[in-house]
Amino acid sequence: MRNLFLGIVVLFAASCAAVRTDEVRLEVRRHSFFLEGEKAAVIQPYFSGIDNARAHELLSRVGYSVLPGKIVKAPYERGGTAGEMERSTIYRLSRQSGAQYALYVSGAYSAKNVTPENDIYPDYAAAEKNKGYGRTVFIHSEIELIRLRDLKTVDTGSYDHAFQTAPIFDADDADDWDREMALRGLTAAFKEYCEYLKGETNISTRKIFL
Amino acid sequence: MYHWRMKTVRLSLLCAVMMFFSCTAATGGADVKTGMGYAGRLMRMGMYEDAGMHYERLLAAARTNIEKARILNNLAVIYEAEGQYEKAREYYRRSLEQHEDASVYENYKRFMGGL
Repeated sequence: MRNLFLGIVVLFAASCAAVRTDEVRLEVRRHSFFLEGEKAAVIQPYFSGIDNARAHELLSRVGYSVLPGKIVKAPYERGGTAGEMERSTIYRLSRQSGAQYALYVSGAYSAKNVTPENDIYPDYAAAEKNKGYGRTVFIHSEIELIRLRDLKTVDTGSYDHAFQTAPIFDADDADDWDREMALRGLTAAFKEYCEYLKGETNISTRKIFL
Repeated sequence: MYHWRMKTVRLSLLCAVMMFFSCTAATGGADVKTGMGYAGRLMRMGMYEDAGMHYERLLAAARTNIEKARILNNLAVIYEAEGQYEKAREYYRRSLEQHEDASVYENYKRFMGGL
């Protein structure tokens, strides 16, 4: 009899002591920089051959238009585009703009002449004035989202773009055009990445108490 | 012999009653316990707004720090689900201030890490 009651008491105590929890599945933002009040600073890009100050300005504007209030422009540092930027410099520039994350873009472009199928072009010698040559520019961009708290890359994006011109007759024109297209490709990549960040969610579980 | 048996039975009953009261006090009393279960069911159905209202009421009725911490955690999860991240962070922190629970800490860690 005594054992029975003791058993009841022990069972009762065990049921009281157990914490009843359950898990709920939530759709959550993939990146914590969407927490209100947190921002990502756009660092000047490392992209040889283009006007980096102008690219920096363009990227900041594009970022702000897609994620208003979340993207800020980091101060531009002269000579900062000579090589890939050190993490400590990225940290300093981002902190100066009050951000908790940094967006660092790097990349390169290459261009080549295009030979049409009908074999009339290219006319590199430009012997005939009306027969220029087509030109294609390939742009590769890498984007890093860096968390300043631990200077870790928490996300990356990699984009390729190609643009083709109508026939060009002047080699100097071709260089200008290449640079413009490189800038356009870089901006397009950054815009795609910001839109990806905006829409990216995860399904995650959280524990609740019952 | 009979007398001793009766004494044991009475003693056991007294223990059970005492444990019942101590348990209900620790887990928040019958009302809070029932309310938590009901609001939890609402959450599982995705009715976050209704669940939130219940938890706010339960928070006002909660007596112990453990109780408050658990309700605050559930509210933080609701705010997170609704995309009110600033409020979610505040409630997770308040929950951990009341009582450091491993489950709450895990939720907070996932929330801060964007997981």
